[in-house]
Amino acid sequence: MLHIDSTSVGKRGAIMEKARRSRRSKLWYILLIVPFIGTMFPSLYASATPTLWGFPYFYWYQMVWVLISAIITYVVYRATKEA
Amino acid sequence: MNWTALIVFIVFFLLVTVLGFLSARWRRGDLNHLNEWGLAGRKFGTVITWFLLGGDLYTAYTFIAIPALLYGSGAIGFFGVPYTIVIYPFVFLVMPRLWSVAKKHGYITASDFMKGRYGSSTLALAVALTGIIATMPYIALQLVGIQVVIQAMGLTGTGFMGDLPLIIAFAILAAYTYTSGLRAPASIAIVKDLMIYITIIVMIIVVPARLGGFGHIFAAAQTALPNTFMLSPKAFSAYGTLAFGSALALFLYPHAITGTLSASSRGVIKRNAALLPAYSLLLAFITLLGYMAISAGIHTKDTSAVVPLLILKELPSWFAGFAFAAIAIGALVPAAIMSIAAANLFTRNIYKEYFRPAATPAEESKVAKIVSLVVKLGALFFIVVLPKSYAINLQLLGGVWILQTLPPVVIGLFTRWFHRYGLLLGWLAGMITGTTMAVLNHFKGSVFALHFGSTVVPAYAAVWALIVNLVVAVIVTAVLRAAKVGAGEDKTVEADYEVDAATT
Repeated sequence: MLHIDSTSVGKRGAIMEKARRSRRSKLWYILLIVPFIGTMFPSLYASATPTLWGFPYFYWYQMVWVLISAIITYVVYRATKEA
Repeated sequence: MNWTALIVFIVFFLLVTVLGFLSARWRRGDLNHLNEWGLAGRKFGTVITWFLLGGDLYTAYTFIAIPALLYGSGAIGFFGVPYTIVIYPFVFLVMPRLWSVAKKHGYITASDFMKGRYGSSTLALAVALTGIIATMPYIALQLVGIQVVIQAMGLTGTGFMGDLPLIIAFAILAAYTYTSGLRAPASIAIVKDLMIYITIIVMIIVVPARLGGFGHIFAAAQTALPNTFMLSPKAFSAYGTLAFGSALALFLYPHAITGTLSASSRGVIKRNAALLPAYSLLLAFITLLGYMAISAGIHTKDTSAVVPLLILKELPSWFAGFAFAAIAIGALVPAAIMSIAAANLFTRNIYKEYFRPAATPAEESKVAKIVSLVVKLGALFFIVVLPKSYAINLQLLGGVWILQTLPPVVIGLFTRWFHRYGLLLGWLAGMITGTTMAVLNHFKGSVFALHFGSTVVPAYAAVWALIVNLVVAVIVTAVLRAAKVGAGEDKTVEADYEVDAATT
């Protein structure tokens, strides 16, 4: 006679749900590549114009990326935090 | 002789000296244990770690040398900014794993981890030696930072009298590091970082105001450096690889690893990965001091004098004393942490491993304290006796060398596919490649131009060396795996890399 144990089904479901959550959260780590793409290729930003508050593009672009990548890192931290 | 500046300088210096000695009592622990002396018992929370790592990574040498580079060489001197941008995602991803496995197994150094992961004491030795020799010139260069500000205050002199202030400063540093271990630079870092933030914030408000605004400053720089003010296409690969290679290398340095492992949880490291970029923004403005100096009319052949000269010219003497104290203290913090880190490596991975496997914790701690002293003395000797260029050249090589420990340490945190002997030979190949490139360059710079037929690609020598390192490691690993050569015992399991602090 088949005996379906409700607790074992519940436990397996919980394990599978955790694995699904873990796979989803791993995707957030891909965001961490963005600062790299934004700054490692100076051909994209090595120009003097447009200027901002007297700063040439080359200089203020990189400074803005400091802020952007800090925000990205924080977002990934919150998104991947184990409950 | 600038008496006002000197008096203010001495007051702050004495303040941190007292702090250094008192910190032995902070978050009490048995300082006769290497874990407590060398890692402060892994007790530092988010805020302390932020100050510690900030003080550790942004050194006096940074504040002197980077603006000097911008002043003399233009846009390429800005590489410190993208460098410190890409570090933190890397830290976020990699360092918590190192913290976890170190916590689980009681590792104090990267080399301990090598022993546990690969079962190879040769690989562990290679990593330990690389760490020690890469750190030594870095300590010496912090002394250059102190020397520069001392001279700027008018304390010039020749021979022994000229070096006396530096010797005194270092003797004091040595004393409180001996008694308090990592707690000393941690507590002093708080003061130092606050002083640096105040100094820079004041400078970026006052100096541009006096010079007519940032637009004017950039215009002056462009006039003075017409060819290098904007990055030329020929320099793109050099710029990108300098930033990238330096970023990968930074957290492989023993002092960065020590700072990281002293954290109290994984979360502390991850939060700091999001918070430490504040220092990167600071660094961007510090770098721009180089252009401010041009705009202020500073003319000097010795570019390391640029920042002190700018401070003296544009700020009142009492504030100059404060700023110089900030820089000098900014040398003491990393010098202390670096000497502790080098001592940890020597004690654990050379002394205990090869000479006294039965060493007690008390003996370990004693040896580390002495080694830390010896290391500082060595650095002092280097700066006082030898020309500055020796330390600078060795530091250049140090950066190239330390990056070669990336495959075993960083890749080893994620996979054990690489064979220990493949990693060892890769490391060796990388060391030889990088050193040869630096020598061929006559140590004039860390960028090496490789010729591929008619294309010339200038790139950071450390990155070229790393590529060679990885290629060799892959090939040798593949061969050894096929030949089923013994790969040593892995004492770690996957779960170890996710271990966190107990949440009680």
